[in-house]
Amino acid sequence: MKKWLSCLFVVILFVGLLAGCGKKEKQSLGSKKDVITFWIAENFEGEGKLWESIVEKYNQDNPDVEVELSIKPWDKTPMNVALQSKRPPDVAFDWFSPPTDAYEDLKVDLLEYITPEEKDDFGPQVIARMLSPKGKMNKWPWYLYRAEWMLANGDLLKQVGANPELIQEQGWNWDEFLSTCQKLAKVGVYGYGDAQSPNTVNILLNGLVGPSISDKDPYEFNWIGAETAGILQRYRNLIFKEKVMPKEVLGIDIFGLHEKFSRKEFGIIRSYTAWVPNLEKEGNISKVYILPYQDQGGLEFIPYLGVGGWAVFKQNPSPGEEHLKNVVKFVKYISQPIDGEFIPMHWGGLPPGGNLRQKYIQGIKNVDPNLKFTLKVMETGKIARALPTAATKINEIVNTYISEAMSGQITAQRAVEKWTAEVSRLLK
Amino acid sequence: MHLMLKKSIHNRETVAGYLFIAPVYLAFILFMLYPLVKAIIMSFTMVGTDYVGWVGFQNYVTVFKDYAWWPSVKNTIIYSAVVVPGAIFIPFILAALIRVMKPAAQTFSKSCLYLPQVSSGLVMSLVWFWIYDPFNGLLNYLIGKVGIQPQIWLGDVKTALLSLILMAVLAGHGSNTILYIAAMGGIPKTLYEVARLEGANWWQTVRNITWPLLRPTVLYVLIMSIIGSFQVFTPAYVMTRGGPGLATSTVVYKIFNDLFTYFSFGTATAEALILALVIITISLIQFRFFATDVEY
Repeated sequence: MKKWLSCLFVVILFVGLLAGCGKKEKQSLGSKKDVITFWIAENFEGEGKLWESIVEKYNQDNPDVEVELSIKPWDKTPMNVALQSKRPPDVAFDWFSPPTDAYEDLKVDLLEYITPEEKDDFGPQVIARMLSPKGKMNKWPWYLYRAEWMLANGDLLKQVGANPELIQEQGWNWDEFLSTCQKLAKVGVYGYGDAQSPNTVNILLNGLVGPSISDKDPYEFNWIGAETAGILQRYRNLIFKEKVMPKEVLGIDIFGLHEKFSRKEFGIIRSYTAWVPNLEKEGNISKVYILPYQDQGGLEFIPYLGVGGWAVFKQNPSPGEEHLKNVVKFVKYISQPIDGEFIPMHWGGLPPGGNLRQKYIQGIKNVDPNLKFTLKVMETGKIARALPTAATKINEIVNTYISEAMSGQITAQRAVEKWTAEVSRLLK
Repeated sequence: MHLMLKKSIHNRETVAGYLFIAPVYLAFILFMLYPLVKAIIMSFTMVGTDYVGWVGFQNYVTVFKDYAWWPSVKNTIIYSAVVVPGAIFIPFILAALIRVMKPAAQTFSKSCLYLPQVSSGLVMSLVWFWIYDPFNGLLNYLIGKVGIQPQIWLGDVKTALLSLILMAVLAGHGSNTILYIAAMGGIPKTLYEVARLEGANWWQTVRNITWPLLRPTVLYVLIMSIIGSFQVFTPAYVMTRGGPGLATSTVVYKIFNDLFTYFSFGTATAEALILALVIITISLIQFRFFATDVEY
């Protein structure tokens, strides 16, 4: 008897373990609310709380709908699992979404839901950025941005006679940047630091030479030749020839770099605009300035802008057209400033629609130098087009050889030769 | 009648036994066998994220032509070639030293050696990340004391892989040491007494008595170390992300990258199966050549 009872207990335990594997009902039990699943990742501390209040208000104002917010870590595993099991969320921050040309059948074509006025306001470049290679609009535009810039300790720059606001207004070239770094070194700090040099070289190549591949299949690789090698050489020289960047930065991560910047061990670093408030607070720095990348080698740096958005997925089985309409309504709601708060502004993002952006800017009371610079970039920059998955692989190849060049293993020229050969093999 | 009763009880016990092991078997089928079969099928039918029907060995050919595959294999082999002998001999020496200590000292030593095993690979990697910090890390501080220039341990292609190997060699010998200590305890003391009477020195005793009689344990440690080292991932992911360049990219890191960066299921599963086949082959060779006179 005891044996049978033990056996029964084990079976019940096992069944209980597997109970969580069942399908989740889309409708809330005992209610007729349409449930919308919504995933975000926090770009800054406190973003989650903002979203919670937005979602709470939306749920109150729309009693037929219940938005379920999930604040996810910066990890694509949950989305990968969700896509593989064909049960993605309804709406997700587009960082989570797979490569542009993957899982086409799971994505909603938002061209069916965009109005002519919205289309005009976004403009063809923003819309093109949201399209898949097959012409489906897989994401809804939320913000225009360029988040990676040089960040400078304003106190130290002024101490060495540099004018960061003038640099923001007029730009600077490579020699001027080097001169500033050397002046910083004379007052006992490292002129410049970068814990992600392959990313930075990518940005420089993109801005000075253009996108890595052409937009027409068969793709042509553009990061070749003497101009490209020159850009990498100049960056490499920061460590080995100009000695304004310590080689040690190659062995730390971005958080280590931020810590050293906060301790005033570096005058200028390459990082992300979202970190500006933190760096000012941690380092007791009166102002951290966002500085432009430098013109160099006779080339003018053109900032390429990204368009962040919301990925919208189909559900299986389909809850119906009404559900999709509710999802799109929610997406349009969260894509605009809400009660004066536009969340992407925390990292320098602005509304991508021209009219909406102007209206939002007019409402901003305190236009500080960094915001002026950001506004200027938004108007003068170019919107980067969506690149196919091959571009990610190309970046990996290029980054491999940039790392070898930056650590002194190979010369810049050799790095360019090697990556040109590898990419040509890949594109064949 | 008695026989029938006996048979009936035996049958009931048999059925009960099967029912008790059924959950484990079910879990094995659901969480090990089914994913394995699915992965094999995926490697022959998926390109990118799409199921496209039978593609034969296309994914395998893609793997062998991938510029990042062979450096990852090379790094994994180098890593294993250093870490595995370390995992065999260092615990052996530690066990031999601990065996001759007083009981209290033995307990203390065993605890100190085993405690790091309790912490996860992630925690260890984060601690070593600090140790290798080029500005303020412990290692550069220590080598600075003897006049050596600070090194960019994780940021230089020449030292990055060596840094991960050093971490593996210096840490994580606790469980193997405990295994060796237990195995050494099973060696009859009379053999050592006889050897002493015959005039054998320490080295002769270790070579002719201890080492041969520890063979089953050594074989187990060898196989488990090879399996573990071929599947190294956490340090490469946490400390270097496979970089700089491909200097610390391992096979499992590459599989992870192909899956979660490129969503290339066919290629990733093909790589995983190649790795599994290599590990199985090596294990079989080890059993064939080293286990002839080992009984468990």
